[in-house]
Amino acid sequence: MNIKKQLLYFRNGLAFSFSWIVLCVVALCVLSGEEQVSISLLINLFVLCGWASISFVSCFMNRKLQRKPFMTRLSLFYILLIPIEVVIFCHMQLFAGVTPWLVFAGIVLSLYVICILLEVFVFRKEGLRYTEMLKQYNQKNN
Amino acid sequence: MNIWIVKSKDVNETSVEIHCQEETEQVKRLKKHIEGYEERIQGKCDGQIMYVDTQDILYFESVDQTTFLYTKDKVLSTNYRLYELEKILEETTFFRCSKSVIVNVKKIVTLRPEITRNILATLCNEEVIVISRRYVAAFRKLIDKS
Repeated sequence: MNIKKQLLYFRNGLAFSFSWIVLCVVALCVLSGEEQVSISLLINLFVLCGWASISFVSCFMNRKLQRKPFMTRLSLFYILLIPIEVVIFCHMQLFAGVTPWLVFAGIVLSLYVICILLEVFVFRKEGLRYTEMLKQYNQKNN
Repeated sequence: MNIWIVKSKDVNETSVEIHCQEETEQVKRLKKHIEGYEERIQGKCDGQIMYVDTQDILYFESVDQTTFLYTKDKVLSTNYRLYELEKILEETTFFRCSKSVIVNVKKIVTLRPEITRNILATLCNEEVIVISRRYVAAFRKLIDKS
């Protein structure tokens, strides 16, 4: 995939994620009674969305990596995104105390575990079934 | 179906005649299969023109308006476009698995579906080809014919 297409995906990802995150922040402010959203908050969110888009495009839209298994790409995506996300959350002082961090870690890990379980219990079996079908097809045509 | 081989010293070139009551789908497939038996694709490698047997081709890939054909040990460019190759190649052997790739189904060793609904196909030379999600249904229909 050429640079132009990757930049297009990055632009689309950034626009989509940032617009939705801003909408969520505005909704949260309305519900909590906050009257204003600070520029520093928006900048932090913009940087986070930018980095998330770069990580996503690099891991999932890269021609060479597309041929690697999904779990490899997901792991790489997590390695690229999570540390920066944690740094930005610390900078924003988003979470107070240990509990919110534990909830965050729990959500991230549970999603990863679900993907592993799907990979092991669903897609591996499907792969064996498809491979068997293909073997029979090739034998019939030989 | 009866098959005879008739030897004659007067014959310059081997030819095949199909005798049938009606040109059914089966007869058309047989004809296409025979036509493809000695099929070779012209390709260019390091400025040299070469002819490659279709049985040796792993896959075709279109990159930047150029079509490349991949064998176990060579990569050649060819003047054919993918849509032209789809018409001339055996449809039971060569399958269009994405916008830019036609794969030789006989060279696929294992298949691995993914959560993204693509299928990763590992070829006999350990190379991996992606069967795009848009083509998965057609691929499943093809291999399920058995």
